[in-house]
Amino acid sequence: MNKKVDVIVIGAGVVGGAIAYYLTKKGKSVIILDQDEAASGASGGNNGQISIIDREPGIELDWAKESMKLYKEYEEIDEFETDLELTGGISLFYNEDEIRIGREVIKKYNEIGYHCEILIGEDIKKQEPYINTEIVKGAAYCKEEGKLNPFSITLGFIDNAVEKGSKLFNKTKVLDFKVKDNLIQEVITNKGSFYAEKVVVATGAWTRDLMSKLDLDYKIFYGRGSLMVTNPVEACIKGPIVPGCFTIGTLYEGDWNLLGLTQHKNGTITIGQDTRSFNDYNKGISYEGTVHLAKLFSEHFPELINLDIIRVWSAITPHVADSLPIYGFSGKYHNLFVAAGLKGAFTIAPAAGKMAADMILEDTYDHRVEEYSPARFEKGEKYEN
Amino acid sequence: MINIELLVIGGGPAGLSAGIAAGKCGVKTIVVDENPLPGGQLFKQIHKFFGSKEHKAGTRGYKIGEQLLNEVDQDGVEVYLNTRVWGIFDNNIVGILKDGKTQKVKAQKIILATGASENAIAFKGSTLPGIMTAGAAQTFINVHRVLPGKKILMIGTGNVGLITSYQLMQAGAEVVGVVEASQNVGGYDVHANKLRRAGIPIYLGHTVIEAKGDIEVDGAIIAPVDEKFKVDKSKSFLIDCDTICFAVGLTPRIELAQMVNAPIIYMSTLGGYLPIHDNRLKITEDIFIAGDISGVEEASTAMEEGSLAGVAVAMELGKLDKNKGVKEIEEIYKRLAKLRSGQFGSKRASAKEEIIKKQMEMKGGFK
Repeated sequence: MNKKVDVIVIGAGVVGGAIAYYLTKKGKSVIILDQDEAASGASGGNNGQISIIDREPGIELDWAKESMKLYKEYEEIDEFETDLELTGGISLFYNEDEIRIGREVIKKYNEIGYHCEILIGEDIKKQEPYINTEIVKGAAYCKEEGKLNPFSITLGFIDNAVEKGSKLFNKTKVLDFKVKDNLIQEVITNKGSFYAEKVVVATGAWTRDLMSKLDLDYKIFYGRGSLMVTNPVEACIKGPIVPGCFTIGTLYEGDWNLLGLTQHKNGTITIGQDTRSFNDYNKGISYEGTVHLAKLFSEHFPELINLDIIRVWSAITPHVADSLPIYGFSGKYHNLFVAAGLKGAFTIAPAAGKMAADMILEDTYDHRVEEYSPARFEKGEKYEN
Repeated sequence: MINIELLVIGGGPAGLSAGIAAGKCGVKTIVVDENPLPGGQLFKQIHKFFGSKEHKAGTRGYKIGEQLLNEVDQDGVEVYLNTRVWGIFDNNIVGILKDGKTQKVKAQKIILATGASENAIAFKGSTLPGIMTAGAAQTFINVHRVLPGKKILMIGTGNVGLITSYQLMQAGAEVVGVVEASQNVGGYDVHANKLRRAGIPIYLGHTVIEAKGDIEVDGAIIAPVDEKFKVDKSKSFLIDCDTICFAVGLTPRIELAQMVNAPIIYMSTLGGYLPIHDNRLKITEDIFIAGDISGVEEASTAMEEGSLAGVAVAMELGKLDKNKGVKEIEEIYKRLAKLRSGQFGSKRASAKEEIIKKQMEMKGGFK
């Protein structure tokens, strides 16, 4: 029988990794379980961007600010590379309406000290010289945005936790839970049972499925994003580029013009797009998504069309029904902590993970995360999808 | 969108044989190949094949290629040339690039016969013009009838290195030496002895440490290596040459298998990472493999594997009586056993068995 530990963290992505990292730092014994392996889901399948202006001012931006400091710390105390670079980032607009809404949106960020501006036409080329301004009419620039290395960070958290005595179990799928007196007693997996004082669920898009085993119905859905990566090339794209509709909230279902990309430290460019295929479990790659993505990229960057695409993949990302993270202790199971649906998790995971570790160990409680409580989905009514 | 019963990806010996076997049973088949000519490496192979008669021994490679093309034609199999497969997606949708346009093919079954690519090694100057793989040199002389250089240094004494050296010599080049890091010749003695008789030096226990030249190769520095492959630079010397060829092994082209999330295994005797397959060369519910993608062997084994996969597909599609099919597969395995015997072959045979065993151990069968 496996020895009882202080905390079981389910999900070896960046959020689970950060939580495990801080719990281990505080001297707790931790077991990390993953149905596949570390960074094999959305944490290893994204563009690695720091996104600011798609977040509401509040705890998320506080987390973001603190996280940038923490990333520096990880590097300084030589724990792991983050490749963090605050290059500034742009959100793309395609018409006057979007630009107008964009102007309104960035005002609130300027008011709280962020350096944002709307770039029009040729000015966009100051940030991204290769972008086609015949298509892209404007962009919201934010100086505090940038890029990082998602693999290095996720594995950095987990390797550090493991080095300090935590254990990672790959290919370990949670099949069920044993519950007594509103406490999770046992986590049953395909590799046997695990026991802990507390259980953390950081399973991203898979959270709804997993929680159904506890008769909970968290309203968290999946979206499948197609991504591709090029051969390494000389630096030609400065910062992260994201679809403006994320920033200004004009995203329509079935919208296809969603191009996001980042050029990484090693020269490769990852090009991604949310195909808006909700509730799609399939981890396969869609023909239409791939063709459309290549087309979008070549329209936006006509001078870069001869890049070689060396790999294509899909990433399943979570979407919470009310667009807020699910973060905090369950109201129903007293030793269950949930951290899922944290949008653009790499921007906030270090601080959110650190706070989660504090909350889990009952050192602190932060009222700013009250509205993220999982209890909002535990009132009993089932969500009709 | 093109609808088809079987799509074979790769028109080399394995792919063509798969097309023939399936086509004979009435399976509607398309074979696609990215090259302007089908036949894979066969059309570069002007030497006679070894083995027994049933494996076309005594026939030259390009002749075998012509025979396969004839048969494909007779069986009503369509061959799309200059056609690149760029991805396999959900529901057996295959993206192909043909005539500069991407289009979809929906296939009930797919056979991957994508072959292998040649390995290269890195040393100072190894990207200079004049350095190429043995396969490239073979294409120069046997397909385009052009000499790649006048003084050639070959690296590697597997059969590819030995045969290509001999053919380069026949084509009129001077082969100044064959370098081999290990203490033994890798390929058949028959081929090595032909070179020895022609007076070509074989430097066993040596490696190239540098290619000389400003704008193109004009020499190579070689040095002895010990049994642990440690280089002794103090005994290095210069060989005058204008071309250096790599014949340092092949790596299976498994990208498409990876794209459909087929489980992968590492087998050094078979060239590296390979998709795990069952005894009918099946890697997922609808996808099969044949030839070098399932482990680097020879054209003769590739043809047998192609037939095997073709027969297996015909059975699954109900175009071939089960008993008859099983019998045919048994026969193919008997012939494969002959090809996989002897000093080199038996190692491959046990590696193949290991893969099949691994597949049987996998829980849940195919996706």
